[in-house]
Amino acid sequence: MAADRVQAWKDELARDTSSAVFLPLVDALRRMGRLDEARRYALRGLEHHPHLAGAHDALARVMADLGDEAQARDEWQFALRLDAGHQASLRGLGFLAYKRRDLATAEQLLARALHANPSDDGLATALRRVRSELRGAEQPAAVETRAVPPRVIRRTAADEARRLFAPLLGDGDRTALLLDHDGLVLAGTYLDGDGRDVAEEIGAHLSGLAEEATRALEHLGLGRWQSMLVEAQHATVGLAPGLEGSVVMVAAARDTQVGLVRRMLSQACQRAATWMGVAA
Amino acid sequence: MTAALRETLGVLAAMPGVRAALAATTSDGLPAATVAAIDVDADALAAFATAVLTRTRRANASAGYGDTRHLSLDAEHGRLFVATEGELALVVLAERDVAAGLVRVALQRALRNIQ
Repeated sequence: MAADRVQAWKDELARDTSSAVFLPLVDALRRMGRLDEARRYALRGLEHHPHLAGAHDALARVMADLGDEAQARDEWQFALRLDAGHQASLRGLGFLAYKRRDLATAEQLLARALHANPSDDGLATALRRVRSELRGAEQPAAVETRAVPPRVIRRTAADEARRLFAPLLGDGDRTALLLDHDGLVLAGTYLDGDGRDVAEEIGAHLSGLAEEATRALEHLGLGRWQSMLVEAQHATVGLAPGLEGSVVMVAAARDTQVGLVRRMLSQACQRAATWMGVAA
Repeated sequence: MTAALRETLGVLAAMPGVRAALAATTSDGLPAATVAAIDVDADALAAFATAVLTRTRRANASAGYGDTRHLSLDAEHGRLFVATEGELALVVLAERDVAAGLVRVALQRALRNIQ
């Protein structure tokens, strides 16, 4: 259980304040949404390991989740000064650049990150997406001058969407996501085994799934699709159609009972429907 | 169609509530062998099952979840099951009230038998 691991790491830190277990502890707390606690442990860890790139990366991820992208960027940049090829920091800065639509910088950073770890398929997908958008961006200046709502309002709305499913997920290795009919992320997060949010990559792979399923099942005389369960080596994933062609996804560690995943999926669908009704 | 594959699909198709059992290659979505009720479009079934499998495989790989092994889809009027190993996918189309747990176990056993 994640909670047991967290407690074990805390105990270890109580015995030895310089222990490196603060790294997995911070990551676990962050994934559980306990961001203030994660930040405290990250800062304490940094006091003991100020020259460890991974420690700055840990704090940066927490700050990014808290919506403080400026400090997240500072921490990742500091990590790169310590280790110019630190892949997680390159990736983090790349995604920040992508979020602010600085596609050229995003492409450069993600390419460097991929160079550091060429076997990272998720990163390769993200880089392809950035390059594709970069090719399609005919008038980047127009994007920069586009009117945007106040930063604080955007952050609140984004946080609300990101945490939509948090109350359902408990403290286990679980994650949930809501995609629109084009596979674009509407709400939630989708974390890989390292706690990295791969929601956009997942969305890209599953874009058009609902339409394809609807067409094929109609042809086969099976009516509307209601849910899907996918068992992978390390996780069980549940998918179901939502409102307006959207798709709701949940994932849990492989040792989670399949019935429980199905139940989580049902609850996530209800939550997504309510949220979409409100958001509309 | 090898005798082992034919026998395996026959066993799956004989389960109560099963309307079709087929083997397909995931790379092209074409059925390699089929045992199906006359009203089942096996080509469409194989194409759809492998397409969904491919998408979810890619998504799972991106998320670091490892190989995709089993997939089940519930629809209004039926259920679809896919078990996969490498390039081969075994697909079962069944009635809505089929015993899903039994089909799942049978598919895993069938995959082992024909490897």
